[in-house]
Amino acid sequence: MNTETNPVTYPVSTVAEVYDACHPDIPLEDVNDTRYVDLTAVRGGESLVKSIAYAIERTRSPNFHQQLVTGHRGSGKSTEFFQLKARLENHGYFVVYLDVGETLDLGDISYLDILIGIAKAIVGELEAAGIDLNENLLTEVLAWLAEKTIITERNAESEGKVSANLGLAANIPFLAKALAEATGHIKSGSKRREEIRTVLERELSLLIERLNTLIDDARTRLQRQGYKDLVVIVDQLEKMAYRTNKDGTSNHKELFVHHAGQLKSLHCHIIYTVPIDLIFNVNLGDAFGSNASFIIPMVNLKDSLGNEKLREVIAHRINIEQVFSQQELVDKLIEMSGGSLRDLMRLVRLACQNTDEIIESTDVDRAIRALIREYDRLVKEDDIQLLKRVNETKRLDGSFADLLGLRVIHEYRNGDTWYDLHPAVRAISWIDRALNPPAIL
Amino acid sequence: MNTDDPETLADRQSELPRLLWVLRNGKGFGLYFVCCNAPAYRRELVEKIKAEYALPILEFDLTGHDGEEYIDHRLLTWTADKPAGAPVFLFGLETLLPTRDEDRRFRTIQEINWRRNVYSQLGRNLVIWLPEYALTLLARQASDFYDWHSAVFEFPVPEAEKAEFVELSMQEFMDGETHAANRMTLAEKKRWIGVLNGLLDETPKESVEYARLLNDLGRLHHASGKYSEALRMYQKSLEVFHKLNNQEDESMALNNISQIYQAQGDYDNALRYLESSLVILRDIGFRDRESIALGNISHIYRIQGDYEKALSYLEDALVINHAMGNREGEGTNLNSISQIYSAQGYRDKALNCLENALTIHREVGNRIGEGATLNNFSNFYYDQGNNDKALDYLEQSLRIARDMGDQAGLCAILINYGAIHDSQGNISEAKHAWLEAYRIAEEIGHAEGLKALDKLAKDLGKEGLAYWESKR
Repeated sequence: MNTETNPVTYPVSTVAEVYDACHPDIPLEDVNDTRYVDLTAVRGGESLVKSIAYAIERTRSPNFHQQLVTGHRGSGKSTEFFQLKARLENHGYFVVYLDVGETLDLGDISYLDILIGIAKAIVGELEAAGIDLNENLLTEVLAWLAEKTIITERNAESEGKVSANLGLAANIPFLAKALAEATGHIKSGSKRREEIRTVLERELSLLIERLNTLIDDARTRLQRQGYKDLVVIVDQLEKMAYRTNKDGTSNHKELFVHHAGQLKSLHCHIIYTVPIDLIFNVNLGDAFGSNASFIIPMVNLKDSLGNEKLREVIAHRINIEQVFSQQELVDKLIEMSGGSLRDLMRLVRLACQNTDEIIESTDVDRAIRALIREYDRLVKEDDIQLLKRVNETKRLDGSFADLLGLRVIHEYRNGDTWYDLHPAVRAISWIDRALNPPAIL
Repeated sequence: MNTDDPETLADRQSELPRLLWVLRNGKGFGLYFVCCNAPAYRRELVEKIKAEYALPILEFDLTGHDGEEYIDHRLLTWTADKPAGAPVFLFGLETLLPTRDEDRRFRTIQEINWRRNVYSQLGRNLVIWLPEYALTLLARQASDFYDWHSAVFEFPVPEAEKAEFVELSMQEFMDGETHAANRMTLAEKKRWIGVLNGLLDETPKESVEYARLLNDLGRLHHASGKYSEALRMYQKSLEVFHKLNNQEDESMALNNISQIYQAQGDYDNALRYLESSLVILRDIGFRDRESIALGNISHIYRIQGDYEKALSYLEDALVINHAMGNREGEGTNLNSISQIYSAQGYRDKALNCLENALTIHREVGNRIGEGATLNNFSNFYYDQGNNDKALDYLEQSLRIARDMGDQAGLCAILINYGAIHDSQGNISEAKHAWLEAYRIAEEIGHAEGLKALDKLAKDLGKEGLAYWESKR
């Protein structure tokens, strides 16, 4: 994503460098990035990387591991995925990472799009790795796709001629191109998208069968090259738009519950990210199995290890002693983050703004006030009843999951799961008054 | 916003330096929001930033964007040949987030949300300027995109345009039914808020009394410039009135809510609430209130520059008032119509309407209306550069406001009065008027007035409100 021309050595020591080192929106893609800190111990003790990797390693063909992952925005899902990808690759897996946001249309997405998107990603990675597929199979699949007008005949012909001249019939690059064309139509939301979807839906069982034949052939060839198996990570799907369907259910439920069968039908290990509001949906457990969801909770600050770990996160990026006028200021920022990594990064950045020398207590206080104002914007009057309930019971039901998505409410784990208000929400004056009404004399 | 709080005040003053800091220090892509409600003030701020930043800033306005092409694509193409590292100021996104066209809004919000990765390809700082309501919308609904930001800078409107300020105050002035909240001193307001809150606890919920208390609390917060608190109160009162099927009060609550949205620059919502109010008033046949609602709707179209619509609503109001023999209403409508003609540049028509309005107000003895019309006469001549006549009319208007004890109106007129003297180079007379305006604004907690005076002091090279305080 962000290619840095001058590699920076962490931890950094000037305020301007600190600002850059704490970008809240850049996942750590490089597994050797020194900024990475494993937070498993303070996030309920279960490591995403390890638990999913084990599950995949333990699941042998003809079974495949299917995994759902969710978590608060900015909790480091993508960073963890890059770690997982590296680990699986080290253990001999061929890993395909699909960023749905880049390939498909998150504003309007169907399970059919996802299936085509996955096919495109797999074929693209095979092409990049120089792994070919059975020629007859490719010809068949291409002919089928053209026949069903998922790819346009005209293109297939002209390209076919070019290929014939080169002495190659259908090949991987050609299929990759054809699938990219199809996802392009799907992404752009043109009339073609509806045509493609209509055909795919009608031909669903055939589509899945053909995809699986392709995948199986790919796996065979991968294994011949020494790979253990194929793993697909479908990331960013949790950002799909939320819509209420005519029957009152949501499009989230439609995709992950009603179409779970199709999403699970592919012959490979697969990981999907899901919108956080779905974790309350009991049917999701029925559809994917009760242990299929992994949730990345907030860092638990109730015991001191949480604070220590987050301090470590900061210390990996910046030289605390040189940047902050007092050590305790870091504790203040950590406390106000409520264990949310993105908010912690944002707080550090806010504290940098308007100072060139060193971050002082006034800068930290100003940063905290700014964060509180930002959360004030997110909370509505109507939310107060739920906030009161969460404050008292530390529990949450599904009806207000959007507040979890907005990080107004945090989920924590420590053996148990509990919920609490973001400290910045607690500090909003009108909410504070509502939560702690003055004693009546 | 709470203007008493010294920390809030200090934060406000650090917004501009912070923004400059991030422009200078933020490398690569960075997402920032600036919350600013008034286009005129926004222009002023941008000029100031450009002057201080001294390096190129790329300004891109989305107004009129047809939605055919992705916003990020347009930005990427447009910035391709621009100096590397120059930040982009993006304006007009709110025009793609209309409150009334849900489909359009939804598309825009989703587009922004799922294409956030593309924005990072800009490789420069992106500063999106939005009015408050649009920013809140984005924060809640395009939360993935919004959550990417590294700071929100808030610049509450000091009603930069003096003329605009005067006009808003005059609108209240003209409505004639000055609520008690607009006459109280700040200390009184605070006491009353306490009292009413106490009563609220004792009053059965879902009773008319309860809803009226909420409405009164709303008026008090509204008059102190605390819009979000006022909105909460009004919304609650609306809910109760609606449950009780008390349509008359429901329409009042709807009207009050619209006034808050209007003050926040969310004209779509303001209109929506006024129109709901209108439907009810027509239903129950309250024709005099209907004509007032039409006038308020017209006012919003006028602020937005849609003079045709503004005029047509006023003409409807005029028909009602004429049919009912409501001369006072007719006078008020004519006064408003003159403002539209004036904005359209039809000077003769404007003057004609003003003269008719003045005749009617004097005929029926509507002194508040007379004062408002005299003030508009003054504006009319001031715009023409005829300061003597402008001053003459304003002095008449001033006398009426003093006689009627309308503090808010008086404060507004005094600010105008000072402005005319100031433009004539008569600074000491101007300061004198503004000082009196400050005393009044301070006493009644007139938020808009204080903001205007704060700016006036700064324009004089002084330290804002503290300057007036030191001169007392």
